[in-house]
Amino acid sequence: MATQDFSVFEQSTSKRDLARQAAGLAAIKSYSSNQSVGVGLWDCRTGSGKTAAALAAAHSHFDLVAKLADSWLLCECKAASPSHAQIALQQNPSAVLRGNGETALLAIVYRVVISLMEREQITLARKTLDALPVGRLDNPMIVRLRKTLAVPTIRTSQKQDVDRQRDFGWIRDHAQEYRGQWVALDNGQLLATAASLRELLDHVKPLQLRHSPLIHQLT
Amino acid sequence: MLNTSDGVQFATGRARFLDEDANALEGTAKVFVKIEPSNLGFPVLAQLDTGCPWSILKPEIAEAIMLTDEKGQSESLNTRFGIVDGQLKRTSITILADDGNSIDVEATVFVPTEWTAGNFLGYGGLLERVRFAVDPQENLFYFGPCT
Repeated sequence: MATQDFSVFEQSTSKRDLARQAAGLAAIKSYSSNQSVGVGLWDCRTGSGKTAAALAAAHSHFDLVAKLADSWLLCECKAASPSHAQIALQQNPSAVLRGNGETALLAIVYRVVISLMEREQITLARKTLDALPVGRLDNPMIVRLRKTLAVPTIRTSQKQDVDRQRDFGWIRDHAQEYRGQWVALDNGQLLATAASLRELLDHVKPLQLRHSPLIHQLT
Repeated sequence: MLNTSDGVQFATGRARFLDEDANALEGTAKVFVKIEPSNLGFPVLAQLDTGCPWSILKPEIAEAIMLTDEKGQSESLNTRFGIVDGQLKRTSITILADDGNSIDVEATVFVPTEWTAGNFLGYGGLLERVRFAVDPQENLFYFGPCT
């Protein structure tokens, strides 16, 4: 059963792209039973609505992940070999997953989450990750995904900037002349200009200024 | 600053924004607010774009704050310039206030491998936890943390 394709943690291989596509399609089909995530492009199901029905019966996030994994596995089987697909359709794919161990499940969840992210389904991607049991959260790739998808945190700061109306006026008036250049502005005056940010900062950092200049690239 | 109808503070800070970019490719007015990425030490401009799934930091700025040193999550973003490859990274972005308090957002931003456009403040990973309002008459951007 296509276990060789489970090395989907790779970030830059052609296999990754195939796996990503299959996982994405599985995610779309699975979630489309009760949420609008765009048009379905490709039907991985048996044609009898089994996936939708199973999802409707899912009572927890963990169930959801398991169903997503099932759906993904079926897509993989169909893509790999029609005979494999027939076998998979006749048995519970989750059982196959259990046979392949935890790595397979994590790989599938990883791919589903990546696919959801690529379809800008950030909330669903977070829910899918949250469905993983606590004991499976220490995988490095899962850790990185959780960090990436973490809800932003905010704290207020006493820091203040100065009114930049004059600098904005300079940008309006002179943008065409300095197209492509990085500029440093203060109180409506051009302090420095450079072709790169690094070069500009080299000019600006030694200056003794009352407050930091506005940095902008005129693209 | 700004309060809700039941007296709860909506915005903790406000700043004047740049409402046009004379050399913008589309030639239409946009809202550019002042931010300071991590420890850059200087304010830069970022276009407010709630339709953008992630915020975007120019690669040069990411390099200046040493964000390119750490490995992020590879991602491809569909932009009006086409599909752009890059990485999603976690960093601190300060939205700067002229009056009141600024806010420091521990955010997820997209750092493209190659990118000739500007910085963007997108909804996912950043604005989703920020209350904000725009006063186009005075060119003022009000903002504060979600409670």
